[in-house]
Amino acid sequence: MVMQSMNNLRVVAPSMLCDGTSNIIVREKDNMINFLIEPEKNSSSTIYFSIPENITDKKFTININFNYENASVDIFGLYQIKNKQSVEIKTEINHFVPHCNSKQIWRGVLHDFAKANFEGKIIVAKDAQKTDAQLSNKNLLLSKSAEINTKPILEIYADDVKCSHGATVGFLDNEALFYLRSRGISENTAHEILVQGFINEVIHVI
Amino acid sequence: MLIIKNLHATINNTEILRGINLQINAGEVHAIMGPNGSGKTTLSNVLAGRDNYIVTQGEILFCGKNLLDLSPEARAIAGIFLAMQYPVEIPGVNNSYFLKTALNSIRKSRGESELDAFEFMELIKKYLSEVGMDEKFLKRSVNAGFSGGEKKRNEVLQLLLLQPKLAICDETDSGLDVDALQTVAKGINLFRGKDHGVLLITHYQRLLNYVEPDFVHVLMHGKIIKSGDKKLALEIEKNGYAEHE
Repeated sequence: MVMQSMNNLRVVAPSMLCDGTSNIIVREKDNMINFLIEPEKNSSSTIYFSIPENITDKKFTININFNYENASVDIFGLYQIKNKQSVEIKTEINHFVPHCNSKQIWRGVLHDFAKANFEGKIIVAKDAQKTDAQLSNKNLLLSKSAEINTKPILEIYADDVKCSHGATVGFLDNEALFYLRSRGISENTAHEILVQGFINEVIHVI
Repeated sequence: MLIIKNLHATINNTEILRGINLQINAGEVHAIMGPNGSGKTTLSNVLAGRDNYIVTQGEILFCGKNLLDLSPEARAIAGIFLAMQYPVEIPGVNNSYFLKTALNSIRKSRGESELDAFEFMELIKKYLSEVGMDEKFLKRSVNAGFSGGEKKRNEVLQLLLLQPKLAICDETDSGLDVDALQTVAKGINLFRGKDHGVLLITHYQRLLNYVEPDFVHVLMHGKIIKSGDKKLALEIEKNGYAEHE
């Protein structure tokens, strides 16, 4: 990963870096790693998550509870997995109070026989008016044997909120591949450029 | 430079090209005109090596090499450049990075040294101004969110930067306003010269007012049915394609 703003970046776990809130609890048990984040009032935090190499059969859960107003959390998550790597990622964002923002951008790149399950749940409680919650999960399958299951879930009980979620799964764009190759770029390099382009959205900010 | 002999090609089992013969020598500008569905875009895609097109008969020689044996990147390295009708948008891939990678890949294959970031910037700035593009285009993703005119300018920018031997411009003039058309034409004129061949593929005579062709061919139903000089283009503009049916 390219680190551009290292100012206040802390290593929370091998899979997580954080800039902002210090209220993060990590629990590890068997094959589960749970992150519980409860941002302070008027705080702004950025979480960077990525699956370390050679990790497999792990379940990651990221739970964010907005208990105090005017807090915002951005999550940039990447899972790029290969061979027979298999991971499960679940996020649950609880907006309990008004005026909080959560933004999640997740990108998955799956090679070979890799398998990922992604579930992103956003719950906006009845009192959590003026919530802004967004979730985007896009996946790139680089092999016909790779597998991704993605499930974005929105539960909204308040009526004055801005929420969006979306998930996509696709293969490399053949048109883009041809375009790059027609400019003299080798097939392998064109491949790498497109994969890099796909994940740039989550890594160029780090 | 380019010799096409009795070229037949199909897509999805439908024969689109039905025996094309064409020779383009260095220094010549050829225009192929034809109505929709005549095979213009198929011809340019077959030349650039796009998948899905199957050549069933005939051959294409480019500078003595059998073009049909080469991958798209090998064709680019050999000196073929296709300015595309619909340049693809590639979000996340920086335009400047793309241009530099393409240029260095081609330079390397020619045995020339790769340009570093400073040398590249110096070179690209020169061409940017030729096609009326701002430096901020370099910072954007390849064609992502570009207007039709900006995409076509970006194609001509690549043409000037990569300096191929043969430029194939597939309806580079379509959807352009007069200003963009003139800029694109200026870029093509800058490229044309005694060592370069140009193949303009177009519906209209409009572009040919700005880039004067040496030869004009009419493509109908996958065959070149008439060839002539620029007067032929004017004739078509006046009378349409119907009389050639």
